[in-house]
Amino acid sequence: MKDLIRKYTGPFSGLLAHRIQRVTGLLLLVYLFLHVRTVYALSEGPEAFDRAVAQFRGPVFKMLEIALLGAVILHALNGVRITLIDVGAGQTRQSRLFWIGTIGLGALIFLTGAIPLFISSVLGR
Amino acid sequence: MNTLEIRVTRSAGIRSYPLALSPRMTVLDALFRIQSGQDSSLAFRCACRVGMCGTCAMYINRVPRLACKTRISTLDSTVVTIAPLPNLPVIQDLVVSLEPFFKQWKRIKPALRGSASGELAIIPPDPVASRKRDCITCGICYAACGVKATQADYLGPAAINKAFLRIHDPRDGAAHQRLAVLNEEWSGVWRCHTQFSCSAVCPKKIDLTDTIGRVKKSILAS
Repeated sequence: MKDLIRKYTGPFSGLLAHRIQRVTGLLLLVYLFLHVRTVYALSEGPEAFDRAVAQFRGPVFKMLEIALLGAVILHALNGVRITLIDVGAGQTRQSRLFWIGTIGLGALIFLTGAIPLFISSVLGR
Repeated sequence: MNTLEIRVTRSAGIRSYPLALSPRMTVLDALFRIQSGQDSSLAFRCACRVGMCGTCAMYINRVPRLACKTRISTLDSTVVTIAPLPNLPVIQDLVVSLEPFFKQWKRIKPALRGSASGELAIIPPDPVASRKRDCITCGICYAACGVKATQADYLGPAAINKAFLRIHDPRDGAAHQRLAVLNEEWSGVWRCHTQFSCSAVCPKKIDLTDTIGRVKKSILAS
């Protein structure tokens, strides 16, 4: 356990990117199971599907939906960064790629999507 | 003059030592002052004191660094934590055994094995390789490596860097043997998660993650 903690501790941007990729990856996996389970309800009839979807209409799930958007954006942009590094394109600029490409651009895309989502879904306007 | 708290992780537990900070004081200077003035039983290792030998590598404020090259004023903290290097067995206090590090080092056959051609080699200037020749085998990259923390068999960045230098040496005749070791599934270069911790901490500023990427390309090309 001590070694596992050490694996993920350190003040380096590359390590932070690695941690974000792992955590968002796990969150997306949880979402995937939830998604498959909900779609599976279709096989049990339209009423069952409506019941399953109705669970996600509360404000808590709407907030989780916004968090999901953030997780997808971070995971995808960091994935692009890792691919660039693997092909040798961003090796020496990995830290800048992370802070500008993943965090900066990610925040911009997130806000573009999250603000309208928050206004329509949570505030109901 | 500021007073510091030096918190040392010793074999018997964590001990704190108050110390007056003097200008340009390094972590190694602080340890010598503690040893001479407060606790003569404190064990640590050093040799050159100018960042050439790598002997005084320690885990300072949660980052592996050379104690002789780390000025306390640059740490921006009144509490300095010093612990032995992670990923290596502790012998006493801050002294670690580098045996696991050199065990991996030996696996890539670090000595030059000349090719059988017998002709004099013409070595073209290689700016990439020349930047990677400065390794002092301090073990700092090995201690910072997150993969090494959970994968005992992993070669580690320094050994991979040495292998890279050998593979790209035109005099070398054992590239295939080295590449076979580097290509091993659980201990070779494919274990690297590109966390860049090794590159961030290397006291000689060697971009070790870049080296690992280049070795991956060499394996794919071969």
